[in-house]
Amino acid sequence: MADLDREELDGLAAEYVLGQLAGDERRAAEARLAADPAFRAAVAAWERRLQPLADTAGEVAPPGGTFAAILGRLESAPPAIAGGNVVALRRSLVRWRITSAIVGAAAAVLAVVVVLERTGPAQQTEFVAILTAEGAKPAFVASVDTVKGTISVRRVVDAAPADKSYELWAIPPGGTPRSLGVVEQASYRRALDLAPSGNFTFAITLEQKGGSPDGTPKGPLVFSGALVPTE
Amino acid sequence: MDRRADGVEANGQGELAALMARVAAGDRVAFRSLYDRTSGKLFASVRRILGNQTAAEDAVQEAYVRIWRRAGDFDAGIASPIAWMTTIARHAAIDIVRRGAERVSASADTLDAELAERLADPAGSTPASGGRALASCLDKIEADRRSMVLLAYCYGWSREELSARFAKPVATVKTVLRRSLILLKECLGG
Repeated sequence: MADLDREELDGLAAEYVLGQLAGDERRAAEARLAADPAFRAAVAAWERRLQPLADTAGEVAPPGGTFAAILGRLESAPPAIAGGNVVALRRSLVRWRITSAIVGAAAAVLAVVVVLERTGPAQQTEFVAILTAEGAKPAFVASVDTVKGTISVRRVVDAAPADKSYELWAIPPGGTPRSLGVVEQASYRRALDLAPSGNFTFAITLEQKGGSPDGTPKGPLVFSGALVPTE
Repeated sequence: MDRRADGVEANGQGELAALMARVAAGDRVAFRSLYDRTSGKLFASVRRILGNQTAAEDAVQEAYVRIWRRAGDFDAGIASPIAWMTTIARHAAIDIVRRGAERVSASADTLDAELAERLADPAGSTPASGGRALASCLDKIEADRRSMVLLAYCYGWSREELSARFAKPVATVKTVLRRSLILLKECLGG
């Protein structure tokens, strides 16, 4: 699929700002925001154009205690994963753009992007998914190539604390998490003897240094992402 | 266009952008300043969408949590800080609506008239230099279509809600909104 043309991109930006995109559509747009400077510019332009409408709401001070409540919510970081948000990205969001842009926008990115490629002629299907905590951003990018049997992982968030390790898990639908190893480097590729389908969830837990001692997740789930077909 | 008002606006935006940069670096003092300067606007926006004080408090809290986490993504080169924050806040409110929060909205006709009036003559001290231009361009859009745009932006109505209110298929609502927005953009000079 070709990338969105300018008009389509602008229409999507308008819908995003208008508030017409919810759920998967919104998160796909947010992924595009991270990946596509032209889309960011289009969104910013729509925000400016329509801001006078927001100004018509006037100003009303929130109740006292609101800021304290906000700080309270920040203390609960890293964000708990509540169900997770699944995003189907269109094929046009090519992988290198997602990856490079997310890495480029590295500052405070918190989520997992899992890309699954299946390049067999009979099943030429591409899956892209993002699972984040509400309001959070990508933290890890994982690409699975089931033909080559490899997985590539890129960490975008800060490294785990010195006495901890991030551990990556593949979770089949209704199944038991299987460790895909500890994420020690910022970026690596390794062999993968697993053929996950679109129903898999990938997750990162924060484990003791060196990873879970017995191959089951022990630490808190900090990031996760699910796979859905792109179209 | 009011030059002086523009200048005031630009200064305010510059200060907000500077605060945002400090927030991105994890500065909670800056976060407090940013909150003090912007929470009135954001709270008013989310309360209008939710029509409910408790839900609005929840939305504004969620909005600032997202602003804190995403501050590093704010690009002062292309985006207006208050407009960027407004989108985050409106989305937080819309998320609450979509999760099934009860809300009461004014009738489309009432709010259409009300908004047109406020756009033309913005209340409060904030110079809405773009308000008159936007109001005049909204005026050029056919009434039902204008209502759709206003209900979507100001009240967070979904395509489905608009479809029910205007007795049009969801796909038509989507098309109408896009076309209306293109007209607006052209009218505003692209």
